[in-house]
Amino acid sequence: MTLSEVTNIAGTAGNFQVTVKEAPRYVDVDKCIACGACTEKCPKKVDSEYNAGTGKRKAIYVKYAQAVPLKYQIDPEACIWLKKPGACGFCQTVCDAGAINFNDTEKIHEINVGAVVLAPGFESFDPKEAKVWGYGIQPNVITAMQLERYLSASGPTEGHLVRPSDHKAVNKVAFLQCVGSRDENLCGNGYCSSVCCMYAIKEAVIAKDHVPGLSATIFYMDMRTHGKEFERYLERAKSDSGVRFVRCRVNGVETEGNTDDLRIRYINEQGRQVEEFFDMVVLSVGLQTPKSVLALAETAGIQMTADKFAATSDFAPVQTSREGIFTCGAFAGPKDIPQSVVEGSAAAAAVADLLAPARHQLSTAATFPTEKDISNEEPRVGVFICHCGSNIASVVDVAKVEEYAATLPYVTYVERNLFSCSQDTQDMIVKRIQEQNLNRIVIAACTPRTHEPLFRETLKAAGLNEYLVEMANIRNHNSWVHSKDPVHATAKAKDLVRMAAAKVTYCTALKPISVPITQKGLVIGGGVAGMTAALNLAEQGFEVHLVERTDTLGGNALFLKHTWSGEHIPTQVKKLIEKVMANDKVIVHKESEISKVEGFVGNFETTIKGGDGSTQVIAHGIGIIATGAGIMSPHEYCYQTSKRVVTSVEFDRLHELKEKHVRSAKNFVFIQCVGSREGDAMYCSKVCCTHSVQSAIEVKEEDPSRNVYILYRDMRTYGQREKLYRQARQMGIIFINYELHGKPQVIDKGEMLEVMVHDHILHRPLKIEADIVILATAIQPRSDAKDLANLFKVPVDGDGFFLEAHAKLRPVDFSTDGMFVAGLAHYPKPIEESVAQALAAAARAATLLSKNEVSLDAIKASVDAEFCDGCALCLDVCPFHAITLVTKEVDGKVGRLINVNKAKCKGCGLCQGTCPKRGVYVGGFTMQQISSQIEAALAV
Amino acid sequence: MAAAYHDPCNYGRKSLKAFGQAYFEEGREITGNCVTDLRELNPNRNGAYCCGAGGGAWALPYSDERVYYGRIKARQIAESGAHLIVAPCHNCRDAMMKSLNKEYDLNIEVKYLWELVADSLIMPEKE
Repeated sequence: MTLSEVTNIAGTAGNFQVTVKEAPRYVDVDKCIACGACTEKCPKKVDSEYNAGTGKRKAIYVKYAQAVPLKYQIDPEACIWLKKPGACGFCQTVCDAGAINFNDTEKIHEINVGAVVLAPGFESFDPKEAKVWGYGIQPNVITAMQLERYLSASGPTEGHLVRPSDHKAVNKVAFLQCVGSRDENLCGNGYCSSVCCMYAIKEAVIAKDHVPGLSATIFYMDMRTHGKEFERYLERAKSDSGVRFVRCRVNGVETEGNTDDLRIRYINEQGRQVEEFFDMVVLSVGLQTPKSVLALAETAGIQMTADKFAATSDFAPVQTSREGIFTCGAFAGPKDIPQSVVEGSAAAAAVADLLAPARHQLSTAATFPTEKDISNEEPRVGVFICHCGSNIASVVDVAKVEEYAATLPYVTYVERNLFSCSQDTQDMIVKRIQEQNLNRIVIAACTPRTHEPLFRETLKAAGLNEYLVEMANIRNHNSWVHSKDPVHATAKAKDLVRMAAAKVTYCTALKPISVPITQKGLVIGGGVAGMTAALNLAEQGFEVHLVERTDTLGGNALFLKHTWSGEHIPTQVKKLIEKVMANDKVIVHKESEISKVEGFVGNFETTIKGGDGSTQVIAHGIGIIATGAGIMSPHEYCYQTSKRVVTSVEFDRLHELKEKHVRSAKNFVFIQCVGSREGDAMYCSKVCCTHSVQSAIEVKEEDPSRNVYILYRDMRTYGQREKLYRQARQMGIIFINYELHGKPQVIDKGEMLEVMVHDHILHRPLKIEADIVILATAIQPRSDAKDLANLFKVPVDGDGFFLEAHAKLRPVDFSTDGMFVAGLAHYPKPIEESVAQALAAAARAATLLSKNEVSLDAIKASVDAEFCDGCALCLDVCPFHAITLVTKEVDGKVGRLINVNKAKCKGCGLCQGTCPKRGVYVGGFTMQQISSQIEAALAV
Repeated sequence: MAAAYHDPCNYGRKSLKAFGQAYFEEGREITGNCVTDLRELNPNRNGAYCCGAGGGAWALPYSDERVYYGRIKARQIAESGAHLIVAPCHNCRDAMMKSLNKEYDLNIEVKYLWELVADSLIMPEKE
């Protein structure tokens, strides 16, 4: 349901009555094929929201090219007809599909659901009101969203970076950070938006790629690149791309006299006031909750934080204050794409937990007629040529293509359709296949990327194997790109149809492979992430083995006291352990380690070795790695020699125990980034800034006469944690910035310590006499992570953390099917992010475990035993480790041969390309198919 | 004559912070009705630059610093091309008229808002 909003949520968890108001679209989505004829004719232009006001759209439009559903809509505020019926109506006249419906009305839907997930997202801050940056006054001051559009090939300038005021090429651009974030004065958004540092760096790098010689400067307060691989990106932006970083919050932007050049005044690192001119200024606008979403929160009856985000617990990060209503994404605090995607899966896990008893109740399996065996039939190819309204037919002479297709070998039937993808045409194709006894089909239309699944279903409905279809893309690859050359476009359409027909002739029926699934899970690591994942799977009804190396559950959380929002960790961890121990579906193996792993998705067999040397083999369908991380032991700042120098975790314990040195101490110095963000550990440990600030607040609160210093490189109290940083400063905790080239020095003077640091405001060396120095040490990956990774054939990254399949699209999956990752094993992170990731891993795992078998795509590599001589070249290129070498015996002689594990094979074809002897082929892409296609391409 | 309206902190951001009410538009509107060419000194209103004498600096002995603080206002005025500056606040008016004008050779006339109104009420033929 699009264009819809929730107006009421009544009832309770498990049984909600949701009222949804659906606004009229004025376009029938079943009829609209998104050909775009309406937009072309529409005479009304308004500012495009998608282009952030940098370009125009029509009154009838799709929001952007990738919109789902890809259907047009009419903006009733702009449409001429809707304002005055009878006045325009061009779109209705040109729409061949008859999809325009000016009489569409608003609809109210009542839906009965068990759970609700709120994911309404954010809006970017509008800097117009604040005025000081000149936004809305100076045309060359733009927001980051607008720059994104200017840099895009589909944007208003087709990717060319020019000044909006005079279209002059941009040579010098400045980015101003924290516009609408960390600012209570101008906008009331005191929190950090978490994502702007990274996007500004990315845009600066891309802009420099677009415009050779462009100078890009980022003005910032703290560079907050705390995510996985972010720190390296920052370093590369400095060293490789040459982006300049200036630590200064710029207070305003103005023009120089009457020119369009923009003047920025700032204080450089030497403390001098500098004035510099730029062609363009980009405001890195922050994230905030829109008013409409605040209204939704009120409708849903959930609590919000002071920063106007959904309130959640750190141990249940997707659970709102109302039972049965969940949240994910930026609605529950500003966050980036990977974390939003993780939370999306986590919300699904939480819902699955709540609704587990109802699983499969509403799902139905589609039924198809029995498949006809065509292996002994002569090929009878049917060709269906699509007009796509006027998309193809207005350029390509489709009648000529039809005539031509009929002359091709084995083609027995040809037909043209207005829209091959419409439901009535689909039914018609089924009828023709049966009537004409067709056994191979060519669809000359659009792209298989979007439409092949549809036509495969059509074949199945006609009783044909779904792999006996081939698409010729005569739209995207032809009529769209050669719209001004119909003669050649028609010739090309013929070529494409000829190639498709040649290939489909040699198509054979392929059978999808299905693998039975052992509906049990294995979770490695009994920390917060591991326990959360195991518990969620168990509550969804699956048996889970939880393997813990030590004799205690709890992991690193046992060393911690409070989450950033102040929740008491020991209480929560104790509750979690109790729940895990009480759940009879979770089988806990303490003092156990993994020693051997065999099998693949759905069918793993893992051997675990207990502390007493006993071994046990566990059969499981999926595995979740949540082995956590360790704490670095520092070799600097007198840590090894002085008892007054301790790590953050040690300090917490001493402080809790009221140790006498800590109790009597008057001067505390915290040193940040000890072992992080330098040398080989070029990553941010993410949690230490918040941890130190929290500890500092505690010691200062105990005795306000104490002097507390925090020596930092960039304060990374991201998101709503900024509140703590603000509080610390208000309390008089002194923050001193140091750079990597001028690290503080700690000198042991027996009764006290001397800390030497260069003060960034006084521009003088500073000596602090400290009673105790607390080192914020790095979180480092487990030294044996690599061994475990090898056992499960999953990768670790350069730092030694487990590497997910895709940072944004598959943040908890490994590229090896059936394996998932959560918690510190993946990257340093605070508890709520570990819990979210654990829930996400459980959700992803449950999608497999809830089935009896996995059905795999039929396009797989197969061995041709006649040609394969076991040279093993393909073993090296296979990215999925699906190929193994086996021995064969022919006529008493022992030779070698490869074997393909079909469950692991993804049909990429690298083996076929590498094989010098045609010993391996991929179904649907055999040598014969490809060569006949090439021959057809060359045969004119 | 090109004129510009200076937003004093006392009637603008300071008033907004202390009383929740700022008077950005009133003085502008009056000025706009008295002159033909009213220019803006961007950034203006809540983001306006200080005359240099804010916080009572006019009454204090640190004149070197005060003149230095006022350099941005002076530059802004020079770049705007305005020759008449309307300053409703006595502090700003004194700073710009008696100090910035001389120190930075601005060659400007500075008037209170009431002065501008009073001057505007004189019928041309009676002058």
